[in-house]
This record gives sequence, structure tokens and C-alpha cells, in this order.
Amino acid sequence: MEKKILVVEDEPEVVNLLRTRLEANHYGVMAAGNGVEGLKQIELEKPDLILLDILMPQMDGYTFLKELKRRKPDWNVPVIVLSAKSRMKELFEAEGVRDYMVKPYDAQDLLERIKKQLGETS
Amino acid sequence: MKSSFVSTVSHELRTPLTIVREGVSQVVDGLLGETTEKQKQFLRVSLDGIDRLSRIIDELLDISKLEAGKSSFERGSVDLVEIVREVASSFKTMMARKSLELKTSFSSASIDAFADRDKLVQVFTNLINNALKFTHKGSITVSVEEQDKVILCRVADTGEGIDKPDLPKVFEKFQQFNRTAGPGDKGTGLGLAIVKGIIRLHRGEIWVESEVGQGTTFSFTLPKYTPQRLLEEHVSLCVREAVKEETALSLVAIRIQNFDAFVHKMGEKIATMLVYGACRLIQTNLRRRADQSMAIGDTILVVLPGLPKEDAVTISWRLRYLVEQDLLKKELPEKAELISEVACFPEDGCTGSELLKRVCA
Repeated sequence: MEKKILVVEDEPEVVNLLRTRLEANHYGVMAAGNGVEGLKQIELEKPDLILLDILMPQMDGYTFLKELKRRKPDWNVPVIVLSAKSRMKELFEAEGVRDYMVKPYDAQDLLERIKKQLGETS
Repeated sequence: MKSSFVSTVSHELRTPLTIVREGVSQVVDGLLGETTEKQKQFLRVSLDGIDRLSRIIDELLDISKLEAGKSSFERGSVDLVEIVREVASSFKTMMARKSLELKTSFSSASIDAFADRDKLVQVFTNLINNALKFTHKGSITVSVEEQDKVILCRVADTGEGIDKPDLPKVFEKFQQFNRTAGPGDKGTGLGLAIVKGIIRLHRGEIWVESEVGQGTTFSFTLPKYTPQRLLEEHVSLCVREAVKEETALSLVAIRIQNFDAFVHKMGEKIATMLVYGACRLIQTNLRRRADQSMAIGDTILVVLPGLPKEDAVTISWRLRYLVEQDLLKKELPEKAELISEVACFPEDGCTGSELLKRVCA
């Protein structure tokens, strides 16, 4: 079955590009423009993985992570942070974050990391 | 340049860069239909350009932080042999592509320094990268040698060399010399300035020697001290301050009692990372600028200048609880048993080493 990826990202162009890229690789894409929308999305459907931006209006990535943990304590959905903030090791230590990439990202690299988190690597 | 300004600008530049890079890369990857080989070739060149631009942004951010003294600086005990091996292996493919040999030489099997690991990785990476750019045949040799008072590190190449008049300028920003570099080899012009900034931060020295046609050697030193020694110096300094200011001084030590069990089950590297992680967590939870935490073996030591004993005891409980809660969240092979100890000037001792003896078993 097609795996679902939730993209939480405030730049619509980046969302569109991620959607094209992920769909071309046979993933289903759910999109949210900030943390608040992201939380709405998780109530509708449980994603297999979350791609998360950090700096977003209304609700940032850190707050989203905290809320996610509070609302769905037993989910354990892997989160890959995709942020424009470079060299932020502390991101790694935030709860639930399994990996992070700095923008501009390399698509092949990103796809490999997604596969790894989804346990799809051979 | 103000570092907060550069930090904001670099963040703002990344989003449009992301859009350009991924847009172009989707065309190259054929997601939007067929493209000719010629078109792909041009698009790949623009991708290289975009990648170079983002490297410049990274390095601009690094150098502005170093210059403003706002660079993070997390020192711990690091093994230079291990660092050099790690960096060297990341260059394997690139060395093979240019048919160059990357040699390493160490004065002993492990050479410990008290340094910021990530920053030293950056130093070796930049120096090897630089050597690689200007070396077309022969080898690059990285050596680390423990001497009496310092640790001497060298990156030597058999490349083109640098003209004498240019030598003093190599560590300046945006100095690119006429040395002909191949296509795709263009640097950012900031790499060596960053290297120098990092070595300065570590109180080391850096210099360059070169003969045109023979090669270039970059050498730098790192001061040699054990973490214990550095700690003693730091605490002694704080005690002297306390005497002068007629204030108190407290040391808090949080120790993982079953650290050996973690080393046994997870390996020394990961167990040590746990202590580092806890140390960082404590540092971010300390309220005053002068407060400092350090990781030494199984212990996180916190120096709290000006703080009297009763407050230090309360803080030691808070910090121990904080670390305990944090470690519970990690998937550890067994529960971490923590103890905390407190030693204060003047009650428990009048010198740095007396105080340290009381908290570090």
C-alpha cells in the first residue's frame, strides 16, 4: 500500500515541489502550511512519516512536535526535519526527530533518508 | 558584519534557493518530461552553482559567528586519530577520482585533545579540500604528532604551491589566487579564514609553508592538556575570582554511577555521547552566563561562581532530575543511576583541587 507522508511547510512552492517529487516516487502526500494545520491533518489520518519545517507562522515545528507527542503519545511516527536553519544539532535532540536535512536539500539524499526511516532500504 | 543579521539573511536565502534547486533538479531527473542531454548538462552546471552558493552562505554564517565571538564552542575530550580517519575516509572517492593518495601518520594510536569535535572536523575537511584543489599528482599527507607542549597537526600536499608574496594572504577572506583550479573545483574563499578562526578559538596557532612546484604544508597546533587539568585551571581561576570578590563558589557534579555498564553495552563512544548530551542539556538550563558545565568521563561538572552552598544543593537536585528525565526518554539498555555531589568555597575547600577532590571520586 502507498505510504503517506505529511509535509508541514509554510512555503507553498516548496510544498508543491515536494509533492511532485514524493508522488513521482509513489508516496501519498498530505500537506499543511503550519503546525496548526499539521495538527488538523493528524486528526484526519495517521501518516507514515512527517517532513517538518521549523520556522513557520502561527505554530512552529518545535511546538508542533510537542503537541503531536501530547495528542498521540503512542504513535511513534518518524519525523525528518527539513529546515533552512543550518548547523542546528539541537534539532536532532528534539523529541521524535529521527533525521534532519538543511535546505536547499538534495532530492536523492532526501528520498534515501525517507526510505531508511520507513524501513524500505534493501 | 552583525552575526544575527547574517543568520537571518542566510535563512531567508535558503528558501528561494530550495525552490530553484529542486525545480531544476526535477527537470534534470525527468519528472516533468524528456530533456535533451545538452539541456541536462547545462542544468547540472546550474545545480553546481546553486550548491556552491549554499556553501558560501554556510561559511559566511560560520565566519561571522567566529568573528563576533558567538560561535558555539563545545569542548570535550576528542581523539584526533579517530577524527582524521573519519575525515580521510569521507574523501576516498574524491581522491580516487584524481588518482591521488591520502596518507595519514600519527605519533601514537590515539591522541587526545580537549577540543570541539565538529569544529576540528571542519578544520581537517577544509584543509584537505584545499589541498585537493591544487594537487594534481602525488599525495596529501595528514599527520598528528604529540609534542612536549602542544599537539602538532599538518596537512601537506605535493601540489602547485603558493607564490611567496601570496603566502601571508592565504588566511584572509575571499582571497583566491591564480592557482589554476579545475572546473567544479571552485572554493568559497572563506574556508581557510574559518580554519584560522577555529584554531584561534582553541588557542592554537596556524601557519603555512610552501614552495612553488613542490607543494604546500598547513600546520597548526592545539594546546595539550587533559580535561582534568583544564578543569583544575578553570576552577582555580574561579576560586581566585571568588576570593577577590569575596563571594562564594559552588561545584556540582552529576555522575552516572553505572557508566561502565553503558560502556560495556553500548560502546564507549555512545556512552560518552550520553554524557555530552546531558552536559549540553544542563548548559542550556543554566541561568547565568558565568555558569559552565563540562563533561569528563562519567561525570558532568558544573561550575557556579558566586553561588552559596544552600542554593547549589537545590540546583544540584534540579539538574539531576532534569538529566534523569531526559535519559528516561532515551532507549537505554538499563536505567541510569545518577548521583549528585556539591562542593563549595569556602566551606569545603580553599583551592580548586581541594574542591574538585570532593566532587570527583
